[in-house]
Amino acid sequence: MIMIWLILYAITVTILSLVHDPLVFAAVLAGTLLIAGRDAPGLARRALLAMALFSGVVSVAYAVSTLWRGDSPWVWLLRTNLRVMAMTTLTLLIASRVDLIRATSRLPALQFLVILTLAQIRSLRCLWEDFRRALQSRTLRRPGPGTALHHGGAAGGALLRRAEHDLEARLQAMDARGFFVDVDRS
Amino acid sequence: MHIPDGFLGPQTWIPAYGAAGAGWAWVLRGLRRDLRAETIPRLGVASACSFVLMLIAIPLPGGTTAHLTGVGMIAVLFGVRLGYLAISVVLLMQALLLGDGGITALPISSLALGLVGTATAVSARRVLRPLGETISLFAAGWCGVVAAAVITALALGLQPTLSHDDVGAPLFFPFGTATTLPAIVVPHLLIGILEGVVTIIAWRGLGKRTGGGAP
Repeated sequence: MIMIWLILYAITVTILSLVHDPLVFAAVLAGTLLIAGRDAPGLARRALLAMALFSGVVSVAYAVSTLWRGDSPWVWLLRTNLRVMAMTTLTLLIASRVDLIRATSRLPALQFLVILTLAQIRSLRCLWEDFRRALQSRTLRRPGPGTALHHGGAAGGALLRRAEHDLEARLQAMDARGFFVDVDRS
Repeated sequence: MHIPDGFLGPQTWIPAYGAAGAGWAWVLRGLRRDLRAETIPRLGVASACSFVLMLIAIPLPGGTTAHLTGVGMIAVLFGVRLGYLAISVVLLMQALLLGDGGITALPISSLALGLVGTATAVSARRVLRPLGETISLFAAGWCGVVAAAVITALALGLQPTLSHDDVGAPLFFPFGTATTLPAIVVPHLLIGILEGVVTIIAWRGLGKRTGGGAP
């Protein structure tokens, strides 16, 4: 099932890259949101947030430079932004439907690295949130730049040490279960 | 340097997947030989740090975004092979988990940051090592991110030439290299300073415990 999703995704992305008709992009975007069902509003919001920074800046720069020359930017703006929105929404939908760890199961070495990195990202996020809340609960007013910098440095160092320790423990657990049995440990 | 989907034409991303895929195959084939028990935890930590550093993005008017990457840090700690793979995995997860950077841009970003960036960083460190550890580490971070910025700027800047309609209007990214090179590379000359500092800090924190760093 994972492979079918991935193949369909690859074909759709290639088509979206090869055609230049805004109607096709709108149709793919509508289809993606339809498949997402109840998740559609959240998916659209995440896609908009993900593309807003880059697409917004490039679109404004292009619109200004084109209008300055006396040309119309609207065709490019509509086509590009719809294409970007359709592709980003589709990617986020696939990412929510496909388990990255299972998707890399045919390449154990890559799967190993994905597990390591994902586990680290999740640990770091949780720990950082703990540190952030700890600072918030201990300061009556919004911390100044000096306090924030000091807190960031201290938290960064602690996170690094904790992450390293956690990862060593995780490695030993994976090793004990034979996941990494043929790695050269010399 | 996170290019979203839809800004690179198939003339760019399909061949780039071929080149990046060959690189990934090369790295994965030698991965188990390159990994050491003491290297693995630090690789995970460095990849996660790179992920976090790349999340803080500043948009650039001529295209793409500017942010720290950790490319110098990963390059001096783990070398080109592991660095290429670690950065590729980080970029893949950013694209899938956050929608930050596109799947069609993944091979270009991986080649720019993971291969050219790390190779430049490792080369700079080797060439400048006689000048002292601090200088060579700083140069590794600075050169790695600037080299990656140049590749990204070239890939984006070539789009209007490679993909345009009958009247010459761009179909994908609209600005040429005359815009992208200064708009992307100049901010990265400054970001490279921070990247150099991160590389020095990371080496002092992790490098001496990774068994000597990049081969």
